[in-house]
Amino acid sequence: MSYTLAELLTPRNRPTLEAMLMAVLQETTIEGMPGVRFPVTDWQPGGFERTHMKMIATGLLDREDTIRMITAGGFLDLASTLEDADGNPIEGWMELLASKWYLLNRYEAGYSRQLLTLTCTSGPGPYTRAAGEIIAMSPVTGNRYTNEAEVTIPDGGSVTAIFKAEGPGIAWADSAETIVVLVTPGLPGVTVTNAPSVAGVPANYISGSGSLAVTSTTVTTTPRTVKIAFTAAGRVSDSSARFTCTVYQGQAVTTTGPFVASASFSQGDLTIGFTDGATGTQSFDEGDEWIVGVPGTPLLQAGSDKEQLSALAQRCRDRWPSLSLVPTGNRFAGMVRECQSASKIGITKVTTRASTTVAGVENVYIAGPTATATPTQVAAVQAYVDERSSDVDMANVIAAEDAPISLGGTVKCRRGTIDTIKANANLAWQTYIAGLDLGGEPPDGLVKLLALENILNDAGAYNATGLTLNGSAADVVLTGLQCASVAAWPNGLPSDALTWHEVA
Amino acid sequence: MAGVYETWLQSPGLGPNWMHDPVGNAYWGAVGKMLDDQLARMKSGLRSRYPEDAAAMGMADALEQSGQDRMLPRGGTYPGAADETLTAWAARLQDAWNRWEKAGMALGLLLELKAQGFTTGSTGASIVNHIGRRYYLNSSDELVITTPCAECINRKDKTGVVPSSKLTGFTLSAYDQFYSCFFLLFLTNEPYLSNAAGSTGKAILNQTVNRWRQSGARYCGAVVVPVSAGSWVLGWPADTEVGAVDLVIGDNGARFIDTE
Repeated sequence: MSYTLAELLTPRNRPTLEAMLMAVLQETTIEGMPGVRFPVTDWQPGGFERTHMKMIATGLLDREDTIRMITAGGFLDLASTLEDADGNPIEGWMELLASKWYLLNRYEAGYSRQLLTLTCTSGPGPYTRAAGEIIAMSPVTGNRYTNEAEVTIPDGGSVTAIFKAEGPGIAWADSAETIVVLVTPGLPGVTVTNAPSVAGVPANYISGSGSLAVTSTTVTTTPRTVKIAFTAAGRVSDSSARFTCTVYQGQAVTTTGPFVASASFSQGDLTIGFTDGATGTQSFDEGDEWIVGVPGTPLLQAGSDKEQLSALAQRCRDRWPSLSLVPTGNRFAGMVRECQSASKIGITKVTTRASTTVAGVENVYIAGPTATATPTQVAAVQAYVDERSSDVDMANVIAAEDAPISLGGTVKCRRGTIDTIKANANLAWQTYIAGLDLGGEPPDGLVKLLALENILNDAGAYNATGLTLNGSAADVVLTGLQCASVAAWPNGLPSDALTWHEVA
Repeated sequence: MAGVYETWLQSPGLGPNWMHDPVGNAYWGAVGKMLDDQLARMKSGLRSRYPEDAAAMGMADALEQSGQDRMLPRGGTYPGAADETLTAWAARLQDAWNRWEKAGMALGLLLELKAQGFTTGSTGASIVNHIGRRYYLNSSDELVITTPCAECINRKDKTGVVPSSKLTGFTLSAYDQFYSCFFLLFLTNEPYLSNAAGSTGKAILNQTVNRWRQSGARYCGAVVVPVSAGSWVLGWPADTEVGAVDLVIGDNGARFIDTE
């Protein structure tokens, strides 16, 4: 007997199994009694034999679902979308497949970790508390954090310590200066905050023997990322090392230089010091890049949700191009997806093209779910890819061209439902945009007007008229590298961009 | 032939004797048949993930899933080509380890083009790169490498200078010293390769090339030159000189297939 995959993935229900059992019994002839069939004359519902069949069919029902799961569990797309009868995801099969066939484990949810500063007035201190004994909270979100290690708060002074979120997940992303409530009793005179620092710890990926440090002391009011890229190897002492300075601020990217590396370099209100390594060594290598984020966030590690099964499935698929010693475009795309899964940096879309202007370079275009990548994300992905590239291949990470989609139109709702419908429509529209690859819906690269109409109808709108995308009652056509994004407030989300009316 | 459950439930050693009178055996046999049917489905479900077994069971849709998982779609998608047999497809899927090891290499790309149904061999799909090397498959699927190109009058070296001793190869972009470009050359007519909107042949060609090309290697398009029909283009056949033959450039079916 041969089956199709579709047959194996479709469990037969109880009435079907019951009917099959009855059919077999009704057709079976009794051995040694030619022409005599199973001696039951009453197959009516409620009859003894029919009820008996129903009982056995009910027992067989679980095995039908097992067949479905065994079958789906061997394929990435099927295993990653398995659901139980109530629509809840069944995650074990995909995890098993990834682990045993692809040697990949699913990334667990991560805990957010923050630097909190505890300050004690003169008199009541000092206090020493063991790990986990101090609890601080954000009054905005209610998120609570506990100290990771023993902390001593000096009398009349302050101490900065690492606090870990009580729970894992992306929701634990409290911004600077919001964790200001000390929940732990018995610490009179002590205040807490997660203050920003002057700068993050400078990070680099190709180490010479020299080092770089932020020497300014004032917290900047202009958040930005600064990349110091060495264009000539050498030392500070003989003025041989040279670098360019690239500033990522908002969507603007500005590169200046090259400059001679000296003891001190200023970029706006940020001062950076260069220090040579041991005499006789090369302090800075050509190609060496240092990245500094200012101001320094107290968030040491962002919390993250458990890896999506679809992302895990894609990582499994990405294993194939990685087998080749010669990198392909897919391999760089796989690196970006690995970076996202491991670090949750917010990049969900990626595509690659060979550079048309620089020989041997692959351009890697990236974007987040509902907007193109920020300069900080670009710098982080570039660093991740550079660290994993071979001696001769290179990828140039680029934020995909932003294509904001603004909405227009009028929506009517039943009285009392408008807030719910707005919220549902916002979420669904963001989900739709997030689900579009770079270049829009294939094959024609569309952002569909019909999608907006369907979203509004599904959200519960009474009717929607005069709908437009970017001012036109037509689909938006994207080029292959454009990233559809939710336009800036108030044009991008249905709740703000559309005109809403309540009807009786 | 009775299945394992049907046989077991009817075996005399199982339960009291009344279970195994003719009527009892008929009853338990029916239940056993259902259990055997489910067992067969479970086995098929398990085996469907193994390409060889899926092919043996005729489960094309299971191979479709494996093909997506291993990024090796069924061969013969090129219009006019016959679908790859399930057995051949399964063998290719099993060989994914070796296939993908060749990704980014000329051999890997040419093998995949062959699997999809494009003509290969000395007059079929060839990769020709900026430095004038030509790669094609012989009848044993081995890579043949030749350097058939004459001197190029405007090809620059990496310093941006046309050297006095001319370089061989092609200028495949406005950047005359660009050294990571390649194009595909077909010396026979591929009737389904065209730039017409919705051309399936072109879409499959471009998709295959983009998946299997080396990163950073810029694909410039495909040139179809049916030489047996007297077709030629500027640059190919490589020993053709302008004015030396009485032909019209680009005539007799010669055409360029773009990358978009």
